[in-house]
Amino acid sequence: MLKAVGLAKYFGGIRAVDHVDIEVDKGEIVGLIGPNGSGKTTFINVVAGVYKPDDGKVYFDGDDITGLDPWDVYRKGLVRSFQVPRLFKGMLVFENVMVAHRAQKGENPLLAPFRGLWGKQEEDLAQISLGLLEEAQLSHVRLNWATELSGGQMKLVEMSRALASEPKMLLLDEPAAGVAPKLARSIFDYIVRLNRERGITFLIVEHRLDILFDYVERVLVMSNGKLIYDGNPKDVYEDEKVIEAYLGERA
Amino acid sequence: MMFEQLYTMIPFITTFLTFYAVYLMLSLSLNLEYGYGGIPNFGHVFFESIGAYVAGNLTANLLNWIVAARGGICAYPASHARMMFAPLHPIWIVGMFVFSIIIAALVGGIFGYLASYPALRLKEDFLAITLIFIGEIGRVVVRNERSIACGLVGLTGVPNPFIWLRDPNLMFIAYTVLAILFAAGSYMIIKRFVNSPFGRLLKSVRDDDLVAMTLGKHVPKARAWALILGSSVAAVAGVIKVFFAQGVFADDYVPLITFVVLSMVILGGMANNKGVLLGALVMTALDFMISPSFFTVFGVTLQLNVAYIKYIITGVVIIAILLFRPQGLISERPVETPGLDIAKRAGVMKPTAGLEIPAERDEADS
Amino acid sequence: MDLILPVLNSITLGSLFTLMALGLTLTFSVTRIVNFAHAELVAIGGYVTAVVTNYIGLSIYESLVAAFVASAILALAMDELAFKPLYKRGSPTLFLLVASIGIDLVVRFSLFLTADATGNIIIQTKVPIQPLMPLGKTYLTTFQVVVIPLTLAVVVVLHALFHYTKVGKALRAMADNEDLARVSGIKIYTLRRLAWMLVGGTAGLAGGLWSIYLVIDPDFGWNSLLRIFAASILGGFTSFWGTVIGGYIIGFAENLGIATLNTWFGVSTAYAPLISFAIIVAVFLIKPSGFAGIDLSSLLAKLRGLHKNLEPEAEG
Ligand SMILES: Nc1ncnc2c1ncn2[C@@H]1O[C@H](COP(=O)(O)OP(=O)(O)OP(=O)(O)O)[C@@H](O)[C@H]1O
Ligand SMILES: [Mg+2]
Repeated sequence: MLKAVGLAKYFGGIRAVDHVDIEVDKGEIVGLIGPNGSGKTTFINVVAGVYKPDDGKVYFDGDDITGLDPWDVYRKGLVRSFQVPRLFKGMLVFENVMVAHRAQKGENPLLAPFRGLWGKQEEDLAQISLGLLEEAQLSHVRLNWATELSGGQMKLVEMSRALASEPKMLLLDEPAAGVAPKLARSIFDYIVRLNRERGITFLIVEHRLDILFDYVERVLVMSNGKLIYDGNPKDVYEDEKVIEAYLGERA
Repeated sequence: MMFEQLYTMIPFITTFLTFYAVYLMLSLSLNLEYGYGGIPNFGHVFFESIGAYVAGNLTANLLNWIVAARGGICAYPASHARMMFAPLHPIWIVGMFVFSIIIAALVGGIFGYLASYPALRLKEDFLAITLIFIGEIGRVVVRNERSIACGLVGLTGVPNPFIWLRDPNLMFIAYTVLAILFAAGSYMIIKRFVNSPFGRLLKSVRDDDLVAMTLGKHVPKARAWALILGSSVAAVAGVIKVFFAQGVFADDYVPLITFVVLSMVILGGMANNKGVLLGALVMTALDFMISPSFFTVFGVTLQLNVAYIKYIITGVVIIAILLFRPQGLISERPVETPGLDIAKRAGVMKPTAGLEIPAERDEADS
Repeated sequence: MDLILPVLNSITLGSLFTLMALGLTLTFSVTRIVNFAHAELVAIGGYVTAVVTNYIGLSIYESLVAAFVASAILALAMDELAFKPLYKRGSPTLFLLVASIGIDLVVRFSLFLTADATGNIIIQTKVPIQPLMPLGKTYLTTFQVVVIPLTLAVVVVLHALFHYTKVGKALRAMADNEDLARVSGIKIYTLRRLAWMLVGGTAGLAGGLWSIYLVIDPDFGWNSLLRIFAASILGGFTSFWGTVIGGYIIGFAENLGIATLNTWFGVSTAYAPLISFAIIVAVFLIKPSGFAGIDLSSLLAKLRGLHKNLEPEAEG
């Protein structure tokens, strides 16, 4: 599904992502962990087209998507969320979700003034958005401004927004960060459901390993921009490189 | 008695309403660019001036050609000949007006598209600087280049399209109605544009362009369209003003005008067209009340140059609104689409068995 | 073409532009505000100098001190009354820019109002400029002998203050990360006030000197703003030495440059402002994103293939 080959991104002297090879198969839920500053977010950014890679290739669903603009990456069905929730502040919760739908006719400025041309589609998309908000138990706040939500709710809106785009694969950057443990687990339950029912592939960056490891069968570990582990979450605590990476961080 | 008084006030009232119409078109279009699209086009007056130059130059050249005037568009005899010709040939001058509107809207749109080039590359503060100074450079060029609008002297002899009505009062009334129709039309059109998924797209780009990109929005295109539409409306406003003043003067298009328009948008409420209606009305009224001619209407002659006070108040309004009511008189509203209606109508839905979310979500923030 | 006069003019005006722009650079370095009202700090300085010299009869040096103080107070007032409250509320930077436009209008037209009411719409500080020594067909004057070293002295002081003192270090920390500065116990608002006073003071001084050299009106600050921005932007917007280079480039471009174009290609001198603008656009297009990163020296170094960084302090 997603394949990064020798992917690299530098910031000045910092090798944020240093020739990483990662492959995620269709239908998988994979965890991506690593100490702070190990390059996880940067990896997502490069894959999603926010940054252009300094080296390497990215393939998605068989296509080469290296260096594509973010909107083209989205078009292929690869969508990401943000570590710190970034909702559109001047919009309602409902509008935040509505924005993300793909191929909206009314977004074309030449059609925009003519309601008849996009009204029907808009109504259908509204039903889908409402359904997504309901699944995330956000129905009651749908007409609130995005700024009026709690941190946990914002995380959920980010998820719903990403889902509205009908993605084939989601790159979630800490979907449960700053969220109460119980809600964090419900979020992961939701992810598993989406994976089963809609066949969405997930790559999830998460710091809360206790929760993450209950939900993924495969985990990738990054450290200093390099991929140092790829395998079973059970064995990760025994891996020397991983221990060193995490201990090194604490020291 | 009453009627007579009203009659003497016709020039004043028509001028006020025409200016309101022009300011309205300018502030609505700036609101589209800045309020909705987040593009600080503080060189807005430049796009107005483009419409003005197009209208003035085209009309003057064409009429000159018809009357076979000599000495170019700037020569006084030619200007005079144009003003003599127009009252006898309504079709020509009305036609020139319509033609000017169309061409100005197109050219304005093209310049708007060109302005999107820096708009895609610069951080917003630097974009604001660039656009303000682009406008200034435009003015410097025109005031030194006789062929566009006769340089410093300005281009005169651009006849009012209703000049054939002969009675000046009638002419001004007719033109004012026309100007108001244009302003109302702009309001309706812009309203239709923004109350659509396109309006939502603009707001998303304004609020967070990076997120908008990752949600599939072609941000450069969205920005370009906001500038094309906004500049096009601004250029039409420029045409309206030229045919009212029956001339074009490069030095009328200083950044100050943009700032007055900006104060209308900020006062009314960004991303709110109704608010802008109100903001433009307040600021235009202020503009008229603090003017020597207004005081002379009441038989008062002033020693001070009151124009200065007008701009001081404009500045104070900008600062005060930012400090005390940043959302403006009327705050931002959601984008009105059929989808929003559905969301409003939908009742409070019962939690389903899907996600089990703890009741007190807010603990999550800790 | 006689070169000496345009060169001398270029250097003199370059110094004045530099002095005007230093405050803008300082503002942006410390507060990240793009301040359009900077023009009025210059204008007020010019008027204070002219009025104090012409009407009160103090010496030019006392007048310049008065200009420094007046503009420093004005700058402080701008911040306390508008920028700081907005900033504390977390307003977006664009709001601060818009506010600065509002401030500019208030100050500029208050100045117009007063100047008009007192018959001083046009004024020049009455100080005789003495010729010191002949230079070709022209003279080196007392004005140049004061202005050029003074500008350089101000730059040296600002640079030293910024880079070699505790206060400067704190200011830089503040520019980089306000929270960090707060945590590490730096008195942020005291520092901020100091910065604004320096901003206003240097701008006022520049305006005062300008009013000796040329006739001024209440619009002269605003009319110089394009060049002020150009000088500062060209210098990287955060580097004092960069600003000096920027200021002199503008000075030369608008005098020697336009004189040359005029002589050889018949370009009207009225187009002088286009040069500043072209410079701004060129800088933006060469390096639109990393603003603080554009410093001329490294750019030149790059062009020459030299990797010698003349301005090590510039923040990347
Ligand atoms: N835009 C940028 N400019 C410069 N350096 C950056 C930038 N983004 C990230 N970095 C650097 O790249 C490295 C990797 O950062 P990244 O955010 O990818 O780490 P991360 O694994 O997501 O960390 P965390 O767990 O804290 O989110 C860090 O050293 C960071 O400072
Ligand atoms: Mg991260």
